[in-house]
This record gives sequence, structure tokens and C-alpha cells, in this order.
Amino acid sequence: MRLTHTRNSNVKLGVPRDLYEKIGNQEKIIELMRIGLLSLRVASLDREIADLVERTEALKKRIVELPYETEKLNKRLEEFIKDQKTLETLLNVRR
Amino acid sequence: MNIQARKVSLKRIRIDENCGIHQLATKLDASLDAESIQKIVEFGMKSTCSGKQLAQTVKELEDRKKKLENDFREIALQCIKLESKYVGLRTQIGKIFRDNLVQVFHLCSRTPNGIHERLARDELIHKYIKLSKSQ
Repeated sequence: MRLTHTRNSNVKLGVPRDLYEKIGNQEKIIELMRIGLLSLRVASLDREIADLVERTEALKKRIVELPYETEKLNKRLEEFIKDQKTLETLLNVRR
Repeated sequence: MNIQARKVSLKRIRIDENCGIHQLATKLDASLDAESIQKIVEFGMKSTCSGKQLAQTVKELEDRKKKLENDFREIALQCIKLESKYVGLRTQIGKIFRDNLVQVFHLCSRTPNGIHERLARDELIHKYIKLSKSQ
């Protein structure tokens, strides 16, 4: 930021002279800057909110999927444990 | 070519550090050099809303964002718990599968004793060879 600090917590900004002359006074420039920055902030917040909503929806979707996926894994685990016991039995029989 | 590079004549204006301009620019990570000021002012000129309306909109959006961030944190925590359970199970399954596969290889070298043992042996060998190929 190209700011020049002065006493009494004031800062100096360099405004293009032609812009200054077109608008006419400092107060109007400051107000237009405030409006411009607020408009940019609104646009930025809109984007951040849309991103948050999208990420929240993706998580909600995953939360719905996970119990089903976990249940599938549980069934597979039971199946492998059963196989493990059968394998132990088959290998022990031959010893 | 930017304004600075063209050595545009500047008019210095003094603003109060607490008037909000500085804070807004910081939040937006916006520069306040002459070129940026020109763009910001032009953007302000195009706006159809007043500063007061915009400030109110920003406040409402910031409140909404805070609420969404809190909701997101809660949902993320819930998701992390479920995901860790899922990953834990998957790891456990992977380990048992690898152990079973090793046992199946041992079983391959054994001669089955009786039809039931042969059927069980062949079924397991077929199943684990097929599964190992699909992994």
C-alpha cells in the first residue's frame, strides 16, 4: 500500500490529478472509494459464502454416504474373519 | 502500462486512518496506489447503492458467513469421526486380507484330504487369487 503517514493518525493517498479534478473534491473521492471498496467486499463475501455452501454440501453428502460404505466394509470384515478361521482349520488339519 | 510507470501527476489527499478505507482495503488485500485508487473510485461510481446500504449488506453477509463457518466446523467434525471409523476398518480389512492371502499360498502347497476339504480349499484359493488380481 502506498500510504504516507502523517501526524494525528492521518494517512496521505496519491490520487491521479485528472481523477481528482473530474470529481472535484476530496470528500466525494473518499466516499466513492468507500463505496467501491464496500462493493468489492460484497462481491468477495458472496464468493466466500458460495464456496462455504459448496464445501458444506459436499461434506453433508459424504456424511450420508459414509454409514453405507462403513456397513459394506463391516460385512467384508466379517467375511474375511470367517475365511481366516476356515484357513486356520484347513492348515491345522494337515499338520 | 500502469499509472505509476506513466508518471501520472498525483494529488495528495489526507484521510483519517480510522475512516474505514484502510481497514476495508486490508480485508480485501487491495493496494491503495494511484492505479488501484482510480479503479476503486470508478467501481464506486458504477455502484447503484449508497455507502450505508452497502455497509449494511456487508454486515449481513459477514454474519451469514460466520454462521456458515460454525455450521461447517460442526459438520466437518461429524465427518472426520465417520471417516476415521471408515479408514480404520479399511486398514483392518487390508491387514486380514494380506494375512489370508499368505495362508492361501500355504494352502496351495497342501494336498486336500477329502472332498469337503478340497472344495473349501479350491473356493478360498480361487477367491483370494481373484481378489488379489483386482486390487
